[in-house]
Amino acid sequence: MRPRLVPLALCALIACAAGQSRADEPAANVPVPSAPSAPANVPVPSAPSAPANVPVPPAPSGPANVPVPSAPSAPANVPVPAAAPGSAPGTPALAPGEPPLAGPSVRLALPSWMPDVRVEPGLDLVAAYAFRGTVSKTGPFQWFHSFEVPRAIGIVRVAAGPAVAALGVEGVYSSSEGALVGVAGDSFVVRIREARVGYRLSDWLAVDAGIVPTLVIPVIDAAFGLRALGAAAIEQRGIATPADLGLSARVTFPRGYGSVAVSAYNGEGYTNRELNRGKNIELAALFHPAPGGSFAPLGLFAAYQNGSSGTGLSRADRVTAALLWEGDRLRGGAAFTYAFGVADEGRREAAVVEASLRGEPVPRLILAARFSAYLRDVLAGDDHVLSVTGALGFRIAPPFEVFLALGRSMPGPVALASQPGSDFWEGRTAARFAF
Amino acid sequence: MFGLATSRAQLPLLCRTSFDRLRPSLRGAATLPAPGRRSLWALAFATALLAGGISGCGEARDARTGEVASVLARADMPLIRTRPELVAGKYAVMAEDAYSFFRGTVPLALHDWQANRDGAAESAFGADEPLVLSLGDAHIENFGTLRAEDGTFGLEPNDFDSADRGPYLWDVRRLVAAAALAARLSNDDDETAHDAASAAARDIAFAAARSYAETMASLAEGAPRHRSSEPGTSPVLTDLFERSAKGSDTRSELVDLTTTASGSRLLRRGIVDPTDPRSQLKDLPEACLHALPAALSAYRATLIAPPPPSFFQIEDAARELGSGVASFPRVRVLVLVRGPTASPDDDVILEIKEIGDALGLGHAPPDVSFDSLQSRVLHTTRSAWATPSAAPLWGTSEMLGFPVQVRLRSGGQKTLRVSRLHGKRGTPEALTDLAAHLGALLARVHASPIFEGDPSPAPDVVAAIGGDSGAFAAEQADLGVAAAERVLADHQRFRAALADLGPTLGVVPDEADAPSPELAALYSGLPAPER
Repeated sequence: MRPRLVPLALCALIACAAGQSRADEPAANVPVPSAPSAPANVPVPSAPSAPANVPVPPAPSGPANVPVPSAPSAPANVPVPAAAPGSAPGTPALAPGEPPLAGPSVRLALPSWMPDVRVEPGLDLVAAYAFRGTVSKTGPFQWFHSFEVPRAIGIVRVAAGPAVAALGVEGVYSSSEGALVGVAGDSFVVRIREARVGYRLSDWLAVDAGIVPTLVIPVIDAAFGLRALGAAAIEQRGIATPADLGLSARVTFPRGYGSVAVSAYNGEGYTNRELNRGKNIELAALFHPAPGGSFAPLGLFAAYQNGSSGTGLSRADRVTAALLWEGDRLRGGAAFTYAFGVADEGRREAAVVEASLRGEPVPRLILAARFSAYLRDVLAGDDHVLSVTGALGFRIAPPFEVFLALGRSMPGPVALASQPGSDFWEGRTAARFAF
Repeated sequence: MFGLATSRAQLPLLCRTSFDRLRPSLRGAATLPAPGRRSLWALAFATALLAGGISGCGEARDARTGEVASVLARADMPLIRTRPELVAGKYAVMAEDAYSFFRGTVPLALHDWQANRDGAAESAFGADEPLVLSLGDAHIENFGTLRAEDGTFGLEPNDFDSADRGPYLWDVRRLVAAAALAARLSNDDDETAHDAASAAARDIAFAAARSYAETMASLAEGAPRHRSSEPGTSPVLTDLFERSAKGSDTRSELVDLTTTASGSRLLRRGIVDPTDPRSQLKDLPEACLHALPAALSAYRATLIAPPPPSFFQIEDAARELGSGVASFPRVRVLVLVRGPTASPDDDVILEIKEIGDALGLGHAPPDVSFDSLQSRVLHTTRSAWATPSAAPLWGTSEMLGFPVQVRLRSGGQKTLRVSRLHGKRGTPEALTDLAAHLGALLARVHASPIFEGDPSPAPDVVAAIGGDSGAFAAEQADLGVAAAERVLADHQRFRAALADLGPTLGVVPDEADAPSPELAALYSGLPAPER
C-alpha cells in the first residue's frame, strides 16, 4: 500500500472506534466494584487498611482551594466507573477505564459545561552509586566510580471525563556519552518523555496520541520489577525504545484475560526526529490464561513490530515473546526478542534473551537476579554479550527501596573488539522512590 | 502475608504498562463489557491497512545503500540541521571521487567496526586493546610536512579532528585500508600503471602493516622516535618535500590567498581556486571580527614558545568556504596577522577551524580522556609529533563559543595527495615505500605515552602482535583490501543515495533549527551543489 492509502487506513481506524457505540451505551454494564472487593491487581488495598505507601487524600478534608466533589466516598484512587461520558457536571468524572493511581490526586471544580478534571502526579527517582572495574588483558585493572541519577521521571496525568492527557518529563545529561559539549557544560536537563492526549471510549478501548509509551518495554519493566537496577536489555542494547511519537489503540479483554494493542510510531524513538516516510507499526497482545485462579499472575506476551530507521529506511522489525509472572511475592519471567535490522543495518539480525526473578522470601527483603544474552549478529555466529546481575534489596519505607547489586558483563571476543570496555564487573547501590 | 510483598499496588506508577490502565481486574473480580464483534473486525482491518500502508515497506533501495545513507546522515545530524548548505557541499565533494568519500566516512567505518562487517572487528592480535594515542583517522591524506621551530620540515600527522585514546588496531586498519584504496585509485591517467598498482594493492597494504609491526618492535626495545625530515628514496616523499621547500621559499600562500594594495596586504575575496567554485573567501560577519582579538589572545597562550603579541596584530580576516572534506561544514576563518615585522612581506596567515568531538570506539568509563576539545587537540598533537614544537604555531582557542584549532596556513606545509600518485609516484614500488613510511610513522605515534609520566604502550602493542609480524601484516592486508573494495562500492551507493534522497541524504532542514543571524551569516555563502 502506498501513502495515498494512509488516509483510508486512518479513516478505518476512526470508523472502528466510532462503530462500537453499543459497548458505550449501558453504563449499567460497567460493574462497580465495591471497595472491599476491589480486584487484587488494582493498586489500592481495601479502604480500611490502606497501606502507608498509597497516600489517599482524605476526601472530606481536602485543601480549601481544591474542592472535592461530595459524591464519592471511595478513595480517590479507586476507580469510579459510574461516570459515563456525558454525565452531569460535578460528578467525579474519572474516565471509564482510566486507571486508578497509587499517588495522591487533586480534583478541580471547573465550569459547569466541563467535567471535573482530575490531576494525578507520578514520580520515579533512582539514585545510585556505581563502581565499575574494567577487565583488561594488557593494561592495568581500570576502575571508575560515580554517583548517578539513572532515572528521574515526573509525570502528570489529567482526566476530564473520557478525555485524558499526560505529560511526563525526565532528567538526562545534556550531551551524549563521550561528548564534551552540552548545555552549560554537561548539565542534567529536563526533556519530554511522554506527552499524549487520549480518549477512553469505554472500559475496553483506549486511544492515545502524542509521545506515547511503546508496547514492549513497559510490559517487561513492570513484570520484572527491577528498573532500579537498570533498563531492560532490549532498551540498553538499542533494540527498542520505551516511547515514541505516534498513536496507540488498545482493547482490553473482558474478565481480565488481557489485552491487545496496536500502535503506529515515527520509529526513531522519542529522542529523535522522524527521518523517513516509513512508520513503525507495533502489535502486542498480553494474555492471562487463568485470570481468576492461582495462576492469575501468569501472563503470556507477544509483540511484533514492522519498522524502519534512518533516512535510508533501514529495516527495523522486531518479534518479542515473553512469559511473565506478576505475583505479589514473586515476579519475573523470560523474554525473547528477535530483531531484523539493527542500528541502521537492515541485513543484520540480532536477538536478546532476558530473564529476571524478583522474590520476597520475608517481608520487605528482596532477592533478585537478572540475566541477559545479547546475540549481536545471529547470522555471524559467536558475537554476543552476556550479562548477569544479582541483587539484595530492602523496602525501607514503601515506596522507597534500596538495592545492593553485583553484575558482570561478559562480551565475546568480537563484541569486546567492537565495544572496548564492555568486559567489566559492576557493583551498584541504588535507591528508588516511585509511585 | 502474601499481599505484603511486591503487589502491583507497590509497583511504581511509571513502570506499569499501558495495559494496566485498561485491566481493572487481573483476577476476574470485575466484568467488562465485551467489545462488539463488528468493532473488533474494524480494528483488525484498520490495523492491517496501517501496517501495510505506512510502514514504508516496499521502498526500492538495497539495504547497504540505506545503511550508508542513514549512518552518515545520523552522524552529521547536528550539522545538517544548523548548516544544511555546508553539509550538502561536503556530500557533493564526497560524491566526486572515492578517496574524498573515504575521507568523509569515519562514522561509517566506525559503524562497520561495531557491527563487525566483513570481520572488521575481529583479529588474532587484540582488536580492543592496548589503547594508544590514536589519530582516529590515519589515512594517507592526513599526513604531510610540518615546519618545525628550527625551520626544517618533517613528515607528521597533520589532522587531529578524530585523535583520542583508542585501540591501536583501529588506526592500523584505517591506514592499511587507505593504502589499498590509494593503490586502486592511483594512476588515473594511465591504465597500465593503474592496473599494476591495483594488482599490488595487497602488497602495498601488507607493507604498511609490517612496517608498523617492525617499527613498533624496535621502539619497544628502546629505539629513539625517528623524525622523517628527509624524503629518502621515496618518490612520493621527495615530491612532498620539494613542494614544501618551493612553497616555503615563494610564500605561495601569500601569493594564492592575498593581494597587496598601497603597501598593505589583504586577504582576497571571492573564488580562490578557479577550478573549484566552492573554494571561496568571503567577508567575516561583524560579530566574528569582534571575537577575533580575544580568540587570538587565548590561542597565543596555548603556544609553547609564543611570539610577541605584536606578531598577532590582525591585518585582515575572512571566512573560508569549501576547504577540507570531513570538516567541510566546519567554520573556518583565515586571519592575516602582522608577523615578525610591519612589512607586508612577512605577514602570516593563520587558519582558525572549528573542532568537534572525536569519533571513537569508546573504552572504559569515564570514556573521556581529556577535559575539553581544545585540550584533546593540544595533547594529541604534541604527543604524536616527534617533537612538541613540530608546528610551533599550532594551538587552540575559542571563538564565538566554538572550540577552535588555530594553525599556520603555509605554502610550505604540504599534505600527501592521492591524486598525485601517478607516474613515478604511482608505481607499485613507490606506493609500497610510501606505505612503509606511513606504517613506521604511525608506530612512532602509537609508541608515545598517552599521558605524561605514563609508560610507552609499545611493549603492550608488541605483545598483542606477537612475534610474527608477517602474520599480523597478512591479516591487516586482507582486511584492508576488503575495506578498500567496500569503500569503492559504498561510494557508488552513496552517490545513488544522494540522487535518491537529496543533497542532505533525506534530512529535511527545519526552520526551527535555523541559527542566529550572526551564525547564519557565518554558515552561508556556499553555492548550492550541482545535482
